[in-house]
Amino acid sequence: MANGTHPIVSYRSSGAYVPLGMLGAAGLILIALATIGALLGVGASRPEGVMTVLAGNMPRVWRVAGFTFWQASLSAMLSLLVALPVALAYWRRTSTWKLSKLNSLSFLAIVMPTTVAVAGLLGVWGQNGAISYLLRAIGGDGLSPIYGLGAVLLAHVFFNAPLMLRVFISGLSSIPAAQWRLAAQWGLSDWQRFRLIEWPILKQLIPGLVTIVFLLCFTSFSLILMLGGGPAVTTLEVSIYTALRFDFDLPMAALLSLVQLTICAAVVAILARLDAAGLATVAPSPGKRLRQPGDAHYQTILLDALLIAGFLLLAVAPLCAVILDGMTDILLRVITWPAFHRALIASLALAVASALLATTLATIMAAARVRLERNGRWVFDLAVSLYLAVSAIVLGTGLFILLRGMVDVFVIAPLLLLLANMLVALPFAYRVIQGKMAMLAYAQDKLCDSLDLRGWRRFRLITFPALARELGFAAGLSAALSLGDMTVIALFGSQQFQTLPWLLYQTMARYRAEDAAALALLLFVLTLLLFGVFVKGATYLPGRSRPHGRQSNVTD
Amino acid sequence: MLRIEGLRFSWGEDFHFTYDLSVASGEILAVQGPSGVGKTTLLELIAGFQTPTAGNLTWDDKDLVPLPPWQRPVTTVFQADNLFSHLSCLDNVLIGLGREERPTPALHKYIDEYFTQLGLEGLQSRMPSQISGGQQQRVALVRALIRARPILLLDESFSALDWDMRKECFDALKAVVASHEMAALLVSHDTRDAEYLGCRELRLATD
Repeated sequence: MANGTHPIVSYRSSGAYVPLGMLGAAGLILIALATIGALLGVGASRPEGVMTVLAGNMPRVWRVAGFTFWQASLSAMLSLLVALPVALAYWRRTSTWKLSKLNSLSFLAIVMPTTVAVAGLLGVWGQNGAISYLLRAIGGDGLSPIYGLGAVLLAHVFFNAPLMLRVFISGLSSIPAAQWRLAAQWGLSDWQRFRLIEWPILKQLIPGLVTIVFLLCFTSFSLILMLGGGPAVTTLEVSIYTALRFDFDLPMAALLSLVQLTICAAVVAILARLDAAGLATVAPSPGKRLRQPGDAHYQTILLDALLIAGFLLLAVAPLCAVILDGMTDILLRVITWPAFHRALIASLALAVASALLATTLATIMAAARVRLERNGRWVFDLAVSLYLAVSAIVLGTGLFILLRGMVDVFVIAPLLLLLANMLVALPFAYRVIQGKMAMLAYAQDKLCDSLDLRGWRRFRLITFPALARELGFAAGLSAALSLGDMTVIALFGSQQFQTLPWLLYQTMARYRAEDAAALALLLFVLTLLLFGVFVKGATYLPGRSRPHGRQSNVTD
Repeated sequence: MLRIEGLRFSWGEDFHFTYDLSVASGEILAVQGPSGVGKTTLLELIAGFQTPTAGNLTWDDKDLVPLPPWQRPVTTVFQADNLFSHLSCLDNVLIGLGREERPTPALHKYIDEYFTQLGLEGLQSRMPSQISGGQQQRVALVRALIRARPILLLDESFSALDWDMRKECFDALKAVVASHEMAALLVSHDTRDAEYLGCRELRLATD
C-alpha cells in the first residue's frame, strides 16, 4: 500500500488569522514606508539636495552619531560586565539563599518609567542623594553632580543589566539537571564547570543580548535628555528632538532621522541573523541547580555576596530612593493638582488602549505567522522588527512631517501618541506571544478542528485561556512602556495635552525636587499597578477551569 | 459503511500511499504495520487533515473528501495532546459536544458512568496536569464516546496503558461501537489488541 517511509506532514487550521495578519503586516509596512518617505521628501526639499545638506552638516552628524554609537557600545558592554558575574553568583546561590524575590525585584527596573528611574538614580547617586549623605555623615565630601556620560552609562546599566540578568538566569535554568549531577559526581572545579556547562549556554545568548541592549541604548532618548547635561553628551535622538522642537529645522531633523534609521536597520538585521535570545525569555522559567563541591568555599561565598549586594545597590537602591523620597506629605498635595488629574487620565487611557491594541495585533500576527508556510513567515517578522529600527522619535518626526500639511498635529497628538506607543511596544509583545502561539498551534490545530472549535469560540475557550499568561505579560509590558514613554510626548506635548512622564520631566526641569519626587512615586506605583492588573488579571478571566469545581466553563 | 476506494495520498514525488478498505457500522478494524507505512496518514485522510490526490472516501455513500475536518462525521483520539491543559477533565469532555448540544442531566450521568467504567471515578474536576498520561487518554476516550460520531479513529491511543487498563478501555469501546453503530479504526502495534477485540485486522505493508 505504501512505497516507503515518509516525513510527518504538519496540519494547520485555516481561518481569519492569515488575512487579518496580512492586513496588519501591510499596514505596519505602509506606516513605516510613509514615515521614511516623508523624511526623505523633506530632506530632499532643500534646493541643494539631500547629499549636499548632509555633506554640509557632516561634522555635526558624524560627531553626534559617533557619540551615540560610543555610549551605546559602552552601555551594552558595561551591562554585560555587571550582569554576567551576578547571574553566575545568583545561580550558584539560588536554592540556598532564597533569591527568587531578587529576580522579581530586578524586573521592576525593566518596567520602570525612565523619568522615575532618573529620580531614583539621583536619589542614590546625586549630589544630594543617599551616597552623598552617607559620605558627609562620615566626614567626607558628597558626590559631584552625576550629569554627563557617566550618568548616562549608569542609567543604561541600571535598566539593562537586570534585563540581561533575567535572560542569563533563564538560560542557566535550561541546563538539564543531569549535567549538574555529573559535574558534582566528577568533582569539577568552578572553572571547569563554567567552561563545560555554563559557558556553552551563555555564549549563545551574549551576541543577541548585547546587540539588543546596544539598540535600546542607541535609541535611548529621555535618559540622555535628562542626564546628558549639555550639548557634549547628545545623541541622534536628542538632536532630532532639538532640531524639530526648538530649531524647527525639519530637513535637519529628517536627515538625522534617516541616519538614525539606517544604523538601527543595520543593527536589527544583525539581530535577526543572530536569532537573538528574545525578550520572551524575560518571562521567568523554573530551573534547578544541584549544589556543587566548590559552592561552600568561603572565597566563593564572599564573592557571591559582594556581587549580589553590589547588584542590589545598583538595581534596588534607586527603587527604594523613589519610595522614600516620594513618601512625604507633598504627595497628598500633588494628588490634588488639576494638571496631575489631566495627565493621569491621558496616561492611563493611552497606556490601556496601547496595551490592548499592541497585544491584539501581536496575537493576530503571531497566529497568522504560524499558519503560513515557512517561506512566508519573514513578512510578519519584518513588519514587526521594522519598529525596532524605526524608533519612537523617528516615527514621531516622520508622522509630524507627513501630517502637518493636512491637520493640526497638536490637536491629534493623543492619537499620534497612541499609534507610536502601540508600534514601539509591538515587537516586544510579539516576541512574548509568538513562541507559545506556535506551540499551541502545533499541539492543538488538529484537535480543535476535529472538535469543531473554530473562530471566536476557539479563541474564547481555548486560545485565550491557554495564552493568558503570555497575553497578560505582553499587555502589561506594553502598558508599562506606554505609561513611561517620554519620547513622542516630547514632540507633541503642550499645555493642553500632557502625560505623567512629561509632567514629571517639566517639574524636575523647574527644580521642584519634592514635587518631582512625589510625582515619580505616583508614576512608579501606577506603572506597577497597571502591569500587575494586566499580568494577574489575564489569568482570572473566564475560560480557565477552576480545579475541583463541578461547574462547567465550556458550555455556552 | 465507511468505504475507501483507491484513495491515494502523495508526499512529494517519492512517497505515496494507496488505500482500499471498508468498515461497516458497528465494526472495529485494527490497522497494523511497521512504522512509516501510512497508518496515521490513513486516519488523517479520513479525518480531513490531509487531502487525497485521487480516489473515493465515502460514509453511507456520502462523499467526505470535500468536507473540512469539522464537518466530517468523525471523532479522533490522538496518540497524545488530547486534552486542553487549562480545562478540567469534565470540561475537556464537555467541549466535545457540538455547538448546539447542551449538557443534560442524562448526559452527565453517562459521563459519570464512563468515568467509573474506565477507572476515572472522582477525577472529573481534576486538571490534566493532576492525572497520569494513561488517565488523560481515557478522558479523551470518554469525550469520543459521548460525541458518538459515526466514525471513530483511534491512533495508538492506548499504547501507553497497561494491558489490564487497555482491556477496560476496549470493553467500553466495544459496547459503544455496537450500541451506537459506529465504524471504528484502531491503529495499533500490539497484535493482542485485535485478538482481544475480536475484530478484523488490516496489515499495511510497503510495496
